[in-house]
Amino acid sequence: MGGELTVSLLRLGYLLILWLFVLFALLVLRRDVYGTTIVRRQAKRAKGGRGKRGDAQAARALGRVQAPQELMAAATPPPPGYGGQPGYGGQAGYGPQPGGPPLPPVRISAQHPDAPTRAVVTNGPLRGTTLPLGTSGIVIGRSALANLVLDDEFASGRHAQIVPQGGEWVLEDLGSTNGTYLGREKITGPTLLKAGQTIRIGNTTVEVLR
Amino acid sequence: MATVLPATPRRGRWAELFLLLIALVLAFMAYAQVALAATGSLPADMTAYCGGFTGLVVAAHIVLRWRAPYADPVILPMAVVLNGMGLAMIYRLSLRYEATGSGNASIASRQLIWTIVGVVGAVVTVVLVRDHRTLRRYTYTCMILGLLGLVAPLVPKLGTAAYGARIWIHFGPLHFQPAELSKILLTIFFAGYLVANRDAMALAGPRVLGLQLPRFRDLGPIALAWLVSLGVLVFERDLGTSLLFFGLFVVMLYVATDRPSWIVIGLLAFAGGVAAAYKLFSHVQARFQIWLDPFNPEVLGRNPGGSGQLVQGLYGLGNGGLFGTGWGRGRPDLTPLAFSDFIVTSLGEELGLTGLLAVLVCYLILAERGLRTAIGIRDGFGKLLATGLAFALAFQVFVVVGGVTRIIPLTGLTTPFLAYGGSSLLSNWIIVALLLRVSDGARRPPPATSEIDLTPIIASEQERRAAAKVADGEATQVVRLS
Repeated sequence: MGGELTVSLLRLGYLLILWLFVLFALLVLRRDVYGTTIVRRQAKRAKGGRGKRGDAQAARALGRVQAPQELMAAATPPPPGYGGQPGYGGQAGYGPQPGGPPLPPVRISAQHPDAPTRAVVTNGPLRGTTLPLGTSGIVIGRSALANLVLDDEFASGRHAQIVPQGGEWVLEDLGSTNGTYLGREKITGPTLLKAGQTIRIGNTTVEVLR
Repeated sequence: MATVLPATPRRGRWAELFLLLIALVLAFMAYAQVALAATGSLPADMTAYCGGFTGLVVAAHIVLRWRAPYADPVILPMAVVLNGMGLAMIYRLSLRYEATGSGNASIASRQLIWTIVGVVGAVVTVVLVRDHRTLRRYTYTCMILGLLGLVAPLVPKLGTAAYGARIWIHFGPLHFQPAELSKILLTIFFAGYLVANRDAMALAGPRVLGLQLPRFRDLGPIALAWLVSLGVLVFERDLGTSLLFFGLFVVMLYVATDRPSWIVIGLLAFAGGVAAAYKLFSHVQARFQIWLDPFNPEVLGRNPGGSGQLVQGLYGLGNGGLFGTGWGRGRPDLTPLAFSDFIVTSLGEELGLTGLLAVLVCYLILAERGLRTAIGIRDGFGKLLATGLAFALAFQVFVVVGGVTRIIPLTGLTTPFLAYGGSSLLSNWIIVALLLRVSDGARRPPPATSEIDLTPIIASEQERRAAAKVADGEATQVVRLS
């Protein structure tokens, strides 16, 4: 009988230690937080005091446009779950103050049928990057403060911007040295964008698509 | 406004040591219980075994402290506990084979030697590969070596066939499955290739049924991967390896481009390949029949290619029940290949569902740490490499455990760390070493940046240009690293 008992104890004890091992490992993982955490200062104003997580999700839902450091990541199209993840150990302390001021809640109610919904970089070092044209305008230029940061000698710091206007998108040169081209023509003032047009800035071509 | 707070991870080396000690206790308890059940006394070489294994593991731990102090603290203990349990089970089976003379009794000592080789291989990898990004330089070398490894068993005289698959090569007394190392080499190649070419592959083509398809001319690489894995299937008759490579490529392509259409294309191509293989090859048909209808007396009694092995494994699991028979007290030796393909059912029999689930959770944690590392690491190559390696581990477990539990047709892949097999053990230890190396890079705190970079408002034009230059320099650096 004693033998039986010992065997049972050993058998169940082994399983117990095995699971304790797994639990200890999980405890270690639980405390293992690294990477950058993005904390919203005005979390309460966003929507009745949501938590950190909700805000991160909201930020993601708004698209990559608003957080410049995510755009830097987008320069090499990220694996899923890369941008907006609180644990993303990205360019901490890199470049500008990320986030920027909260976006004005512009909701384009009646989308114009010809209005583009995204801008795709089709040529240049950032080829493959997609920017959703969601709720706010985007600034293109060499400055780290731009939304689409170009590594291009022929681009100015703040080169051009694409801004929403009454359900449509308008391309505007911001006083660049070498100019902004829409199709083949250099634009002289704010110009309405139609889906399918190509914007050229220096060596970079951006196509706006529906 | 938002603030970005970089959180420096705990190094976790002490946590790792603690977990390692429990892992060692588990390995030794299993080893002792096995011998107690078989002979009634502790194994003769118990002290040597404990001392040697402890020394090996502690040495690996110290090398991590020295060369990769920020490496993930959980990866190594998981590998050690799985390897230790595998060793105990193989020792247990070899004792039984010795007693009955029914099988190869030398498997335990050989597996022990390969464990030493594996851990040493891992340590050497951690020491030699100072930065995982150096591996990117060998992208195409890895491709050539990896493909050579895949086709090497087809070379007459060098390659040998066993159990219906032609995947071994032998040099004198040494048998080796080169596909196991090809797994790592091709993961490096895929990561290096995709990080350079993913932009083109992410470019959108036509949109069909709400799915953004890639451009037609970008389909070349996936077609090539498909053909190679089909070639492995047809000429080496190795369903598992073929599945692993194609799955690996599709997943890494998806992760690199963020386009779900690659998964759909991959699954369709896979379904087409399987359908064709089913029509053309009798052994594939047999595998399906075994899977769907193993208890049919006609399928059960067929020899060779009957479902007897699978059914034995299932009965073994049934015999184990919830809490198992205890180490050394079941009859896993009744299942053919209980020490390699069916080691999962052997463990399931002696540890029960409770123990088997713990083992699966260990694999889950291992794969999770790999994917977490991929999220944490800052360069694109590292992300793809870690994803690929973690996926390869997880996928192997899925294919093997799914096979022996009749979720999917049985294919020949090894259970990482548990199953008998030198090449598999060595390559999985190298995978662990690479994951440790990448995780060290991911968790290492970034070098301190100057305060100027953090100031968004810069007064004069000159200063702004200077800042833009600094920022540009950094931006290019980030892009280059990626």
